[in-house]
Amino acid sequence: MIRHATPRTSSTAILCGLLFVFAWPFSACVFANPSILLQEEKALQAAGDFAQSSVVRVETFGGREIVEDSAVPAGPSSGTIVDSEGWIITSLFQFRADPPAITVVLSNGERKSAKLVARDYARALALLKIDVSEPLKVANPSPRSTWKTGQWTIALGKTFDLVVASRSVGILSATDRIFGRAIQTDCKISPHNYGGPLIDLQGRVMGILAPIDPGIATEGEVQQWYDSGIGFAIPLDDILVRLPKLKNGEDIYIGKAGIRPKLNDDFRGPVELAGVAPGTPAAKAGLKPGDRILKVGSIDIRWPNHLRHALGVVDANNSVKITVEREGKPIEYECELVKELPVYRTPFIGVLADATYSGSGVMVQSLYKDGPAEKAGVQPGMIVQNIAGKAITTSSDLDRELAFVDYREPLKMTVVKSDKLPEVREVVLTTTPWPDDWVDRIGTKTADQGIAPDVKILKKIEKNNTTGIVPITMGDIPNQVFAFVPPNYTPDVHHGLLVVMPEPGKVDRKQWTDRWEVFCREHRFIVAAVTSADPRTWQREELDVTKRTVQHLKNKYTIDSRRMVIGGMGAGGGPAFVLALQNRSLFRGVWLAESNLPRTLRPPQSEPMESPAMLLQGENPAYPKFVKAVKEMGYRALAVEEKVDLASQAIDVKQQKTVETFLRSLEWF
Amino acid sequence: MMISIALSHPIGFDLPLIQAEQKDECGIQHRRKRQTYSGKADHGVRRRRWNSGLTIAFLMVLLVEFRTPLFAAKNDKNDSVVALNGSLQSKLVKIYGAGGAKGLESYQSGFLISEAGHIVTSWSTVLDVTSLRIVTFDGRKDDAEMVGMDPQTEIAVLKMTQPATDFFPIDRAAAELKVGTRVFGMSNLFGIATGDEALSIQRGVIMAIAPLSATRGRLKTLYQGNVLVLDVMTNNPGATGGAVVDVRGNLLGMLGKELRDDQTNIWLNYAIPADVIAGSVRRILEGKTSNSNANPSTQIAQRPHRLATLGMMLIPDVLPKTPPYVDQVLPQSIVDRAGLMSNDLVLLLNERRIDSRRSLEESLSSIDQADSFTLLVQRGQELVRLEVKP
Amino acid sequence: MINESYYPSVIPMWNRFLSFSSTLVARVIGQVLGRPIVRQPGMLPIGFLINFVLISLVQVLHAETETSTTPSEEVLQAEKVRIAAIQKATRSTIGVFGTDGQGGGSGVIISNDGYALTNFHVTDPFGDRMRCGLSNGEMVEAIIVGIDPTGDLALIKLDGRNDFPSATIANSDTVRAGQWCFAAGNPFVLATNLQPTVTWGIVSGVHRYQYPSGTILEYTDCIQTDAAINPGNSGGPLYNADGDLLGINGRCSFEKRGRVNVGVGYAISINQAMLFLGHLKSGRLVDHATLGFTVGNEGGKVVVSNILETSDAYRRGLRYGDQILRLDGREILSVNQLKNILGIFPTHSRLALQFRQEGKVIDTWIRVSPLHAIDELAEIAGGKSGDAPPDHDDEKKGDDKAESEEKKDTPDKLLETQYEKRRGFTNYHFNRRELDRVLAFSKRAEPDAKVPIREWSWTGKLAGETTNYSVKSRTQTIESKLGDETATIDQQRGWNELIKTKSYHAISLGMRLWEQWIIDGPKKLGETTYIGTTRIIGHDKLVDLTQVTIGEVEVFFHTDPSDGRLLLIEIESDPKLDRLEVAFDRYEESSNRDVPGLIKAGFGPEPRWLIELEKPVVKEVSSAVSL
Repeated sequence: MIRHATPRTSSTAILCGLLFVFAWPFSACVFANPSILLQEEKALQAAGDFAQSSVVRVETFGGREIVEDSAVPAGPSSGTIVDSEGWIITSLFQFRADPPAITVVLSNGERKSAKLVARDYARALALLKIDVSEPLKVANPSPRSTWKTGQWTIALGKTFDLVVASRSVGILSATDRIFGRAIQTDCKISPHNYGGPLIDLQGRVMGILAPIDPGIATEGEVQQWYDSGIGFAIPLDDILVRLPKLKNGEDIYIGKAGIRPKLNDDFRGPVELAGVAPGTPAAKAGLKPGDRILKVGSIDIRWPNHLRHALGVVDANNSVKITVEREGKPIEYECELVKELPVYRTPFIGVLADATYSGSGVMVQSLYKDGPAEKAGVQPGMIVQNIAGKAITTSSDLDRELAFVDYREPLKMTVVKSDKLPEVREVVLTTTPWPDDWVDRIGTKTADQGIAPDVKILKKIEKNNTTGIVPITMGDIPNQVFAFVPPNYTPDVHHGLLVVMPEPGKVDRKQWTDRWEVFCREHRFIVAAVTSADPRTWQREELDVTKRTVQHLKNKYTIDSRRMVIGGMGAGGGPAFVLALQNRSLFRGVWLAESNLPRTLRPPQSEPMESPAMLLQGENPAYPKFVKAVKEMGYRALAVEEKVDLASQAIDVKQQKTVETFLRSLEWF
Repeated sequence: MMISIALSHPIGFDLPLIQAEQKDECGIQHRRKRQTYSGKADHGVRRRRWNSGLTIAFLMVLLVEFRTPLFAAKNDKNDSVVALNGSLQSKLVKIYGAGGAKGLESYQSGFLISEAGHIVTSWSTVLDVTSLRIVTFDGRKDDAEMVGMDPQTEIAVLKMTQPATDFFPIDRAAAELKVGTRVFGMSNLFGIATGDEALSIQRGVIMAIAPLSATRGRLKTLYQGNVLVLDVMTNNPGATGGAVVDVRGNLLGMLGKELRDDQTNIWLNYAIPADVIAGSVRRILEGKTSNSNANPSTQIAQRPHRLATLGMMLIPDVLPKTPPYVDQVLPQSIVDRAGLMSNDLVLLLNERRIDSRRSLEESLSSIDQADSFTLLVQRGQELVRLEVKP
Repeated sequence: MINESYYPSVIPMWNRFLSFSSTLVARVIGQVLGRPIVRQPGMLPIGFLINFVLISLVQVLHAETETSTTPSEEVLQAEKVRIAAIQKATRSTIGVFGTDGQGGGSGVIISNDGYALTNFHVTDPFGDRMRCGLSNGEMVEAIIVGIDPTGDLALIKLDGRNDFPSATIANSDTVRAGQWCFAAGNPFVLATNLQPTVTWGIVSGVHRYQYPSGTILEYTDCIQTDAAINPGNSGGPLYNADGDLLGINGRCSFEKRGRVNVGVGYAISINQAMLFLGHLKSGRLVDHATLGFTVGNEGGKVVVSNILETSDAYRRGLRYGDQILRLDGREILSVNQLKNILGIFPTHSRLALQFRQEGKVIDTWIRVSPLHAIDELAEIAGGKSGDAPPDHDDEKKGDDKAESEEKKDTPDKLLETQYEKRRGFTNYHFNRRELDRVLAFSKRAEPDAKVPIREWSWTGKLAGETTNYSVKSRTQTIESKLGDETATIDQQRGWNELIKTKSYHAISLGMRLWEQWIIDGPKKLGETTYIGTTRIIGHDKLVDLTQVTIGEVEVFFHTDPSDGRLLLIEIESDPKLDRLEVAFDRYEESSNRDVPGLIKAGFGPEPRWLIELEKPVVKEVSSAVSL
């Protein structure tokens, strides 16, 4: 030891005397045990002691106990002082219950009434303000550049003791989580230290602990991960740059661009835009379906997760530069992200096309009373040739182009009086979302021939004469599958398709035929039934069977893509609904009869060409609430409270009418 | 499968190879024990050597300590816990008793506290049987009987028939308890260590030292005193009764039960401090344990205060947690004299947190009409403390 | 906002006034004092004091400001060491996903050419193909190689590189409870950027046994840790403090908190994985072993409670009631321990057994037998036995254009080039690979492809005796001579008899097979399968095992992985009988070929005949003469 010291003695001799005084009492503590374990213990304790005076207890009083069916914690939690004048950052999770009173208790035991000034929804944080008589000790930030996976981290909280902060010691598990918004630690993180700081070995604050939602499909709720060794903290410097905004009482939200990659594979590129919903930042910026995203800012985008990481750190109302590749050349767009994407609703113009018309354009057969088209002076017999500058030659053109129109904006439409004596006329429609009263009003007139076939398709299809009850065999599956094909079926006419997953058990085919024959003949529909393999229940795997049935029929018959509907009765409704949402581009409608809705499944936002209409039929009390919810998400949905007897696998005449009206509503634009 | 599960025997005997080596370590420990105190082991020895050193040397070292690592610590870090674990296993036992029915485990953990074979564990249904089976870390089997239990702390003392080879001396002054102290939880959690397998060891720190009632929400236990809250997931089935030790192997506490905050569903990991254990053990061995589980906080007063008699009217109780806003204050009433005003929101009563009208009434019911109490109310953004005197 | 309604409208204004005035006060004070007052906690913990002293000291020396604490050099050093270990280790950590990028577990790369270990229960839902995320953010395609459904192990191979970062393998037998360790992987599939999650802890227990849970996944001799293991960590690595691979995380004790870590995770020891590695590389459905007897615990002794008379153990003399003392050199004190040891060995292993019979201790070697019938395994493996038809579904065509297009390019290429279905195999392609590797050596001896017919004649004598031995192998027959007894053995027929009667002429079969292995390679002889690596008596290294079905007998060739030398040939005519064992030793160079100078032959573990050989005489005969 002396040897170690000698080179320094000169420089240190002076200190010895002074030191003696200090060192003597502690020498035992310092030297009693050389074990690194104890040295680390001391260092970690010192770090905690150094930072703890900037940690406070946050308590809420009263407020709603249950929020969104989940019990809201009532006990105290922690907060971190970020500004000496009484600004405190804490975790948002306590305030879901809108407590009428919030208090903050400082290290000296002083209890202060606090105001919730602003929320950062992107980072699950809240900013509190208390009145202070003297400046508070502010948390000291740890330089981000020093952070390395594996370094010490300590989580502090103040729920137990006001002076000595509670500690959990762990390591930095990952430096970039939740799309760049958080860092990860294996300290034990729970409501005790939510809102408290995560500090480094030097006692400097790295971030604020918060149960932030990972924003990916994963197991269990993040609140349930407390103490699991999976914990998150929001980097302090990310908070400090936003502090002025928060102090002004401005809430912060995740920025949304409305970019939807074609593939639902987070790790496979290129990121090609599927559809760009009207009114979204992406659409406003000028992005188009089929664009390939190359860069966001300076970050290369190889697959969707790169995109999520690039956008993850951008708040709403901020702009990013997005470079896309279109027709081989890169183009740069400025895109201002928003807090909420405008809800997409399929525009309604109130036109029923004449299926028998085979010329270019779409001939109006009848009009929805007081619908946008009628108001604009469109009359039966007129032919729609162009909307929003896009030429319309077939009804599927109209279907597609209309889907990408923003119903909030006036729509230019070019019509000609008739193909014989053409007289071009420009009309401007004020389109609306689908009216709620369609069920009472649609069906007085019908497109009894179904939609005229597209010549291109005609060539592909070989003539097929199997009509009536057609059993469908797909080899390796045990399920009973059959379809009713109307006797008047011809491959040159597009037919609607309804595939039903009934209540498990036997299905009386005769009954089916009797129920559906008239409708199918008049309205050119094919109705298929897939019965469960197990007579008692449906298995999740059987979703695939149904999907294959649909594909099978689609390949075999001339199917009108606008009128593909999946139905579910009783226990069959759950799987049917799941299938519909998994394949929103495939199904235009989903019908449930007396089925329970799968609780776990939340429908995604409605999108152009991916917004199936929903008919929920039966006395299930959950239906109205659900319909309200999905309507807010942009879907056309209707709950009809009428008893459906599942015992007789098919439904009786009255309820049948409702379903038929629903199916026919799909013919309307 | 030739070797069917049915054949496997949960309890083995004798000494396995691995454990045998650990036993040698223990042997060494015993010898040390006779020179110094048990537990303290090698560190204890070192200390005396250090203290005999030159003061000047201390100062030099203190100076250079920053710049030059004096004590090469790499392997130490990797193996000191191994040695610690090895030296402590012989002080721990697995306890097998009643249970099995309705999903309750029939096993828990405990540790030896005397040469005579006294074992400390926590009181539970597992002990609710005439004869208990004790299995040491290395698979040796013995029977034990209840000596007694302390209802206040729910600590039980057992005694096995054979003397103990090693034990935690609990009468000695307990080690200094500090938040952030590194701890090791040693128990047979989940009954993983079958037969001759060593008990499990987990590492963490003392997260906090606080009375159980001071944690979020209320917890179902009689013991209301201080506990060591741990940041390690110790409190699992079968772990209760296990030992919590520090880096030097000093006993710091006994692992508590599986407790869960009934308001937030948060499971707690905690231990009952060594000094509390020592007290309980003393009472038990002296047969002085009272069966009155008096618990002031839940005491009901004979003639308690009521909102009406105090003269305060709250807004109607319409929610599961109606905030206790004062609707009206009867003139000249007790609370009026105390200065309560309408629209005040009651936050604390005698420092107890009030978060609903119901909890206010509850708290009042434990205070006798004759007694005064303090209220903390929120008036606008201001907090006002009121002395309410009957 | 129910509460709002209870607020009288005046209060908000009142608030504003209050808060305004008080902040005003605060400001004024702030001004007067000039600088913020830093409030220190009333009671200073001792640690703080010490640190305070030390810090102030450092300040004097280095003029640092009090914006942080200053831990001692060693503490910082220790932290650096850990960070470095984690950096090194996590390079070999991978996330395992389905081909659609969904789902997810973890894994670890163990060789630069991309072999990676994970759990069977991770790869099972993905089938034959998967994708792996490297910690540097790359995504690579991978294919299934072999699976061990019983032990919950799977071997996959990453494609496209030969310089994958691979883990350093630790010796998990030396790991002790209390050692520091860390887990890396993709818990809760949080690694959207493929950066692994690292959790730190200690080894809580070793040699743990975990009963099969629901399925037949049995964890034997596994490592228990308190490093946080959560759903998604499955298949991922557990490293020691130096960043070397200790095991494969696969199970946890979950209870009251659903599938969230409660401080108990289990890892399959890397030593077990290494014992199975050769078998997994063979692309077979790998099976575990059974001893052919059961044990119970009687008064502290582990004794045989039931034994099959057809088992090798029985042939070696083990009987009902005997006490098992050691297996594979490890002392047996509980039934679990026996299971622990048995569980880490694949079938085709031979284990050292020590037992006590009527007071005397007997040491011997016993062969284990397969735990499952191949169809049983196949079922467990979810039809991945190879006989199930590839489930390509024409109905699905033209379903989702984008998807199917995407699926075409990379993934299927891998299936075409590196995947082969066959009954009893997960991926037969890799069995070919291993066979080629093993046989490459024997080809080396004979560069030219067309092989002329040869006559070999060996002469030698029983070691330490005068009895002469000679064997001449013609194309049709083998002439064997020991002392003055001669036998002519047919090339194909009559082998069974020789083995059954334990005739010493059977040795000459071994000689003949040795020649054929060297000259033609085994494929000419019959159906040839690479089994994996195993241990043979008198060799501490693992050796390659190749099985060849020749007519009515099964022949097992054991070769040295480093130089391809044949070390041991075993011939089995009937699993109920002892195999003929011919071990080759004292290799010497002779006419640019390595030939054995000593053979040890016999039935059962102890050789019955030691024969010292002269160099063989090899005579070429033109193809005309023969036949």
